[in-house]
Amino acid sequence: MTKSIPLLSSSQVISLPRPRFNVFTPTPLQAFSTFSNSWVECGISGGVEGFSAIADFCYLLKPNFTLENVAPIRAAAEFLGVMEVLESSKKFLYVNVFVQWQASISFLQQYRRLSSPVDEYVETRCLKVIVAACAKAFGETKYLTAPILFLANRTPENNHHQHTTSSQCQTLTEILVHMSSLPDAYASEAIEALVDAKVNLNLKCRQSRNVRSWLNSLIDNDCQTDRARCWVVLCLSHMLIKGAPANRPWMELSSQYWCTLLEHVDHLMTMVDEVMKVAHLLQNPSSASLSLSTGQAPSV
Amino acid sequence: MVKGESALTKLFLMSLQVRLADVKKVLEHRIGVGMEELDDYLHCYRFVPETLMSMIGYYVNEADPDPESLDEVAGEVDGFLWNFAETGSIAPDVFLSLFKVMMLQDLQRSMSKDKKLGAKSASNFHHLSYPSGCHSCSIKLHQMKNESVLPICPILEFISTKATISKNACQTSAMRFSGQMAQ
Repeated sequence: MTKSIPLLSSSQVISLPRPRFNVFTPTPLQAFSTFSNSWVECGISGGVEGFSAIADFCYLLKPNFTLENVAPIRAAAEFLGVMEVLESSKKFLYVNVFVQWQASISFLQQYRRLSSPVDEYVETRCLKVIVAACAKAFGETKYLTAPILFLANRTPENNHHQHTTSSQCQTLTEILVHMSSLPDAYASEAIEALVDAKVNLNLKCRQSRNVRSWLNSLIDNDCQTDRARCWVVLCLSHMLIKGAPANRPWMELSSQYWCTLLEHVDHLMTMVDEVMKVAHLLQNPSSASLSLSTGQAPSV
Repeated sequence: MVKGESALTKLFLMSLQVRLADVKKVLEHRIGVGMEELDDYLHCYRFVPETLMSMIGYYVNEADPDPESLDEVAGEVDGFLWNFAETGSIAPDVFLSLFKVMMLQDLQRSMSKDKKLGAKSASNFHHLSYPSGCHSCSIKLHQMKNESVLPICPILEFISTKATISKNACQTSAMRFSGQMAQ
């Protein structure tokens, strides 16, 4: 849809300052004659929002970055070669997004890809921050404990120690849960990177006898969706397998980890099978009625 | 649009299925060959019959177990079988497969040494043979009888009935759910 913009008077045009850049010097009329998504279709990264900010910048108006517009503006700046905006957007991202894992997670949760190099720029850095935080949390966690056990065992003597270990474990749990709740493409990539990071779960679980309770609490209670449960289980299983010895002892002292993960894989596979069956039935109601009448299970 | 989304969901589910299946295979193998290393009892975990069957397969074929640990594992498997039978969560053919593995081992052991392997298994199976509530005989049971896989005993009939009931119940629920969704 094209929106008509009233033509500017000659006095207004004259009063505008001279543009700073020779790379792209649109007149106000050129810049604002069309407000539609056709910018993207024409191949201008960052769309209307990004282009508008760059046009403003040409006339000395600095971009007002927010978490929502920083990527489109950066994309447009990159496309048009506006180095100053590139630098300022980078600074904004490092201060507000890449600074900690929670901010990176929030950013990726709401991020809409722009089909621009900026996608890779923000996604790679956000995932790097998240994976580094998770690997660090694994390293710092000495005891894997489900919250309920922590409360039950609290006494005045061990209160401080348990509080410390519990908060480390809690951080690890939070990162894992949030990472697994990311959109699937990001979750998958983060897991691959975490598996490649040098975290040996086999060593980690030797230090705790409560691995099973922690895993059950993490997967059953902390993860809010089955999708997140799948990602957590896949992540931990791959990490465990990667660090496992090639020969006897096959599981070292980490059999709780192996068996509990297999238990959850079993359960999740059954769940996925059931969901697929229902999806199939919904798509093919005729096969459902047929299977009911013949008493046979519907084929998937 | 809706069709596209459902196709995407289906694709995603299929990829999840594949990923989970790959991981499951490795976990089963690792636990199976390392069954003697368990720091808990095997029956503490809730594995489905097929998973247990697979792990036992790895244990028997690859772990080269000594008689004592084999006895121990046989006892654990008995515990599972009893639980599966009670909850009707095992298909007759899987039950038979598991039982056959243990019987086979028993036979081999008897031939090689004069020590009863799976004594616990045999003993528990005797108890399993007389559960209450055996009423009808399913098609599967007839097939097994005709194939002469094992002598028919009440436990198989029991499991067979339970499994059939459970399967029908699942189907009915799924149909009801699909009906609700269609409305």
